[in-house]
Amino acid sequence: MAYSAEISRANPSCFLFVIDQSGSMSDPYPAMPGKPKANGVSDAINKLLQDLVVRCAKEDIVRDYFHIGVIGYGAQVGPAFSGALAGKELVPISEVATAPRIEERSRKVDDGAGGLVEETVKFPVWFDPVAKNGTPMCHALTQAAAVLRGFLGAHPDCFPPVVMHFTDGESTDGDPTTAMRELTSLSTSDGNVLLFNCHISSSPGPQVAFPNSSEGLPDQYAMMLYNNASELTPFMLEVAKREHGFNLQPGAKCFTFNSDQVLVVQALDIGTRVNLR
Amino acid sequence: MIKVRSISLTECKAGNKPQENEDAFFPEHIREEAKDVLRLAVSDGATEGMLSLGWAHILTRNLVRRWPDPEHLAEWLDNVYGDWAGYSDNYKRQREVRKRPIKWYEEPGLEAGAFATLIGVSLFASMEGRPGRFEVAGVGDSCIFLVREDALVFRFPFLTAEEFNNQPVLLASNCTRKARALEQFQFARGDLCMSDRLYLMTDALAAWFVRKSQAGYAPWRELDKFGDRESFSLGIKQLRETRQIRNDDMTLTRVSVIEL
Repeated sequence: MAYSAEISRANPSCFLFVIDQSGSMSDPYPAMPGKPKANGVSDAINKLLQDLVVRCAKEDIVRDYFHIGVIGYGAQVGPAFSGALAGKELVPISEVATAPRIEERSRKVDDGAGGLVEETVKFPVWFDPVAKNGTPMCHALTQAAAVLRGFLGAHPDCFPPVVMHFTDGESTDGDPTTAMRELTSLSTSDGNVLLFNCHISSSPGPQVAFPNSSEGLPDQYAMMLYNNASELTPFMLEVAKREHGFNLQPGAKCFTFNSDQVLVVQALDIGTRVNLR
Repeated sequence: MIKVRSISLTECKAGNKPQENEDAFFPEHIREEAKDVLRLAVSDGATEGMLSLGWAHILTRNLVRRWPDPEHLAEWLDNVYGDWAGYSDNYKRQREVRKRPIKWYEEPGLEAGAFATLIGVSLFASMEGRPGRFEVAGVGDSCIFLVREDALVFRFPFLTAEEFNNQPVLLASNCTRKARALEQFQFARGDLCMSDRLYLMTDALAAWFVRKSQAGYAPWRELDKFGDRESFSLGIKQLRETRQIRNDDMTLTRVSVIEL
């Protein structure tokens, strides 16, 4: 059965984030004035990386169940880690664990008396928001395929890598269909690479979350993202239902359209929640 | 008096080191003993989480040494949480002593605490004309089976292979989850006969056992062949290679009633 390979230190898997860093990502989410989409996405990815490191942590060590990469595309295309990991395409999660910049963020919590108090929390940062220039999506996806080819050469039997692609606009370097198909044609003995296409909202309007049909999608661009996204695995379907309340049908795609910040976080969770038992 | 012969065997997940095995069992040695009441327990510490093995040890020892009365389970849990607090505080102190302070990525796991499944059995001698009997207690998908005259006559808590999944109920070491823990415990009891054999095991082996028995086989006969660590290790390796069993830490405690 596909997508059932054990994830272990001897047979790790891989998460690759491909992030649109074009100029329009500096616009705010329609429902969140003041928070640029680029900041929303970087916060969500930093939080996810934090959670992944914590999940792999055992007493005094981090087990390398995953390798992680972030590719940004906008003014340039390439590895998008900041700080100590800058320039690296793919790193084991134990290396991710040692490399964050720790920021202090504030959050509001229940004060136990009907009110809210602000508290400071440590927030590890590996990836900073960038929003500049065009949308060279084809170039970025081609580079993602090259990075994964290297990983798959070393791990031919691994749980297939998951590519989480976030974008708010149309490609400015051609039709990305071929590059997306090239990416999802890569495979291990356990199945093909999984591609999530998550479109980020630029205007108020209905969201589409993990549909199993293209019916009702607004345009050709949405259709292209839908058609080239993978199908959710049975385990992802289960997580989507159990943890996030989505009542999805078989054949549901790794695709969201007009996503707000909440849906971005949900997509990241569903896409990266593999079974570590 | 009841007299039993018991053996516990464990094998770590393939690819891991033996010291990374997060299953625990108690008592820890092969033994033949006679008492009015005998108890044994097995626990499976969760892969995701910190100090899972320590938590599994605390659970098995507590279940064997102070069997919980269902009516007073809350007090039993308070004792267990007390042991956990001492254990985790000591771990943090030791890290300071070893100049290996807790890292940022360990803090959430230590705060959340550890998780494990648990299965245990209490065996009672026959007394004053009453037959021998057993009580079982458990949380999650570690299981116990009772075989009498080469027939499976009791299984707990799962009856079918379909009940095993990748989200087992887990007992948390965090005392703020006590209300949930009280709901998670399951108890059962039954009569015990001479020559009965009981098998306690963690989930991967239990899932195989149930699947084989559902298919009409007698998997206990295969388990009875394992007389020592080497034969158990080899048997598990073969089951893994033939994809009959999931790769996981695996523990079996086998008990034979030899006097009742």
